[in-house]
Amino acid sequence: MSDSDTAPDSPIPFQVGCATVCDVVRKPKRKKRKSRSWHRALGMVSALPLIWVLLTGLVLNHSEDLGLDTVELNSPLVLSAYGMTPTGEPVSVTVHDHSITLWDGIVFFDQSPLNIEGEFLTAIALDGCIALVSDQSVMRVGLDGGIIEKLDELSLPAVPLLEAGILNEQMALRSADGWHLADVDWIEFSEVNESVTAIGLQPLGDADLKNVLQSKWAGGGISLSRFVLDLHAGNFLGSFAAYFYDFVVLCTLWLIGTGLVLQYRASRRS
Amino acid sequence: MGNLLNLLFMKSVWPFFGRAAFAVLSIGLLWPTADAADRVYEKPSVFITRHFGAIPKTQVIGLSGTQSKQLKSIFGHKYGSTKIRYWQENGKTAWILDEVGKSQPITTGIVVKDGKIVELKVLVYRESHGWEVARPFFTNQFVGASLNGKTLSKRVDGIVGATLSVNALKKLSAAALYLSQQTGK
Repeated sequence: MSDSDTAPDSPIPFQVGCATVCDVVRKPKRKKRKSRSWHRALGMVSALPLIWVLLTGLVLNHSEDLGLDTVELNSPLVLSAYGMTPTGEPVSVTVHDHSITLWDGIVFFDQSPLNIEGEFLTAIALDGCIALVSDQSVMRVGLDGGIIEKLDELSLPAVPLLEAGILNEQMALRSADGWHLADVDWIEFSEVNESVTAIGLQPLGDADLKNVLQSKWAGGGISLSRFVLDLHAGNFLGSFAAYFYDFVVLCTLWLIGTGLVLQYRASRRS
Repeated sequence: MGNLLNLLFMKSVWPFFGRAAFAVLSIGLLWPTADAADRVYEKPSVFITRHFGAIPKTQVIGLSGTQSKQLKSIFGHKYGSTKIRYWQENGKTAWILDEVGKSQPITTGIVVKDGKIVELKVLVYRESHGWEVARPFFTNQFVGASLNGKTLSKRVDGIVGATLSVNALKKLSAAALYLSQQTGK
């Protein structure tokens, strides 16, 4: 800064556009309005969720026409979002070329889920049939997977069953009081003192089957219409969804308000 | 304004929202799965022992094609197994049969004598609703009923809110009467 600028008798510097002889004092600059910038910012913020809601709503209105109910999503990502993914690893045993798999409480005969009472223990290959053994029951199924009969505590030597195996080509079951050998018709059981090798379940190694069973475990998947509905309602955000949509509504109202104000000012100027 | 946008798009905020959303979602999904335990009114072995004094020798009926068709017409669907166990002594035949009410099987003990039902008792009830069908005021209606074609000879009054379970018990009793006819041949 030079000395001449600070001197008390120095002349007042004139603005550009003013003649040196001009004695008119310029009006103070008008305060800059914030309405337009807020309007633009909130417009950007609320645009995405609004478009989201509008588009998903549009699709939902025509879900039947689009056949969304008939399409099922079984992607692991989608199923995990719905909590429909089995925990732990599947364990399996192969009998008569059929894979019997237990995964998170569900028993599969190949790829078909079976309703077995009790905690599944193992499967045994017998002549012309398969025995599916749980701690509370035994189910005899044919080689085609059809259920032949079910044995509950009334027909079993004792419950809970602990292990199962094969002795002399017949089913052997172990309960707390030892091993019992079934007759051909599984009507009567006799105690045996011979050692029986129990048949257990092993980790499932077939990755393709594992992927299929994961989908089957979830009952086939989620319908596309349900998925779009949850996207529309924001259910994936949980309780946060309500606050999120409150925010979007307030932004939209503010957008409308500032838009009206701007429109009013623009009409006054013109 | 800039700060607000920065906050909204700040990457560290989203994991928090994600965790909160999944926590709430998980609770919401797990809550309805906390079903009530099975209602075991009487163990099948106790039911059989009560009627016969001791458990008689188990017998099995293997369903023929005709019998399977007849059972299918009674139940409205193929019965769950092709062999059915029963217990018979002193002219009485006891059946332990399962039929799905709404989504879970109802295990029922039925004793038949001279072509009529002596007792029908719900042994295990697994549905969340409709357990009133296990009450004696309802099951006593079946006593004395015989088979009239594919249905019961007696009228059985229903229970509001348990229609499916009531229908299941009607089918089971008709099936037990039919199977008793078959074993008596």
